[in-house]
Amino acid sequence: METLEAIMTRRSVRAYKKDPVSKELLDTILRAATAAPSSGNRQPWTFIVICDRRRLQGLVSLSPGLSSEPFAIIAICLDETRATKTEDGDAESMVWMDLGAAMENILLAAHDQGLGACAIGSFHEQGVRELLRLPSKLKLALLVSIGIPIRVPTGPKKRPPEEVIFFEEYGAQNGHRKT
Amino acid sequence: MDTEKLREDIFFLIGFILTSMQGLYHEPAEYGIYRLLDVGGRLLSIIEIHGLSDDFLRKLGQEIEEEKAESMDSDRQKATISRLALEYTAELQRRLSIENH
Repeated sequence: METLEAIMTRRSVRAYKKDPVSKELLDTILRAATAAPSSGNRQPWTFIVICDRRRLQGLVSLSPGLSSEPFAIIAICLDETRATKTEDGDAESMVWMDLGAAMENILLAAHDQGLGACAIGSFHEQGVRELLRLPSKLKLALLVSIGIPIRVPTGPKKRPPEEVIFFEEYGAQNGHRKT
Repeated sequence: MDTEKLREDIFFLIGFILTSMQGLYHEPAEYGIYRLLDVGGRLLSIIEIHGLSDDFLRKLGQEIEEEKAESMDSDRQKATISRLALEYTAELQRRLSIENH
């Protein structure tokens, strides 16, 4: 699939078949994840891949954002030991862009390989942390469900370009500010 | 009926309800509607799996799953939920009529 076609046709898939996904396909998706750009090339991410059915049932129970049980879930974590820090000791905000880039690579790679995927932000963080036995240095950022889609949703409504895109300065179209 | 499996399915459903409640403190208000739609779908799925369903509940469950699988669209979702509520009302009236004979 061409890159632009993948970007424009990707959808958030929430209903999956019970059919398995090959390890080769998962490996391809994970390679795409690690190919994402990151600030200072620090690669602050850690990915936990869950395919065990009992663990998946537990995750679905603890994650309201997961509508059904996928074949696999990728937990995207921030490794705080690899994140640059602010003066207050918090991870620099750039790391969230890095994890976002990795997330998008996962979503697009899955779509390119004929799979469905969906980024999930609604989960019980402490519960999922304990289920995955995350060490304290890892902050759980997102879950991504992956599997063979039962159905692919239609495209969501998008804001019109003139509402979100401006040129040269805010409010200006074609170099001229709207009056 | 596999009582142990039913108990387990309900146990997982309780987890979904509890974590949904907690999550909604921080999430957009409209997520609540989606969570209720989801719990309805999950409950109907459990009923179906354990042989407790009927034609009406089966159809209701299928329609809910189709809505859940679609992209987020509050207008479409509102119309779907309104229609399903009306269909349920009609079925409720039908069942009550039979029981009242």
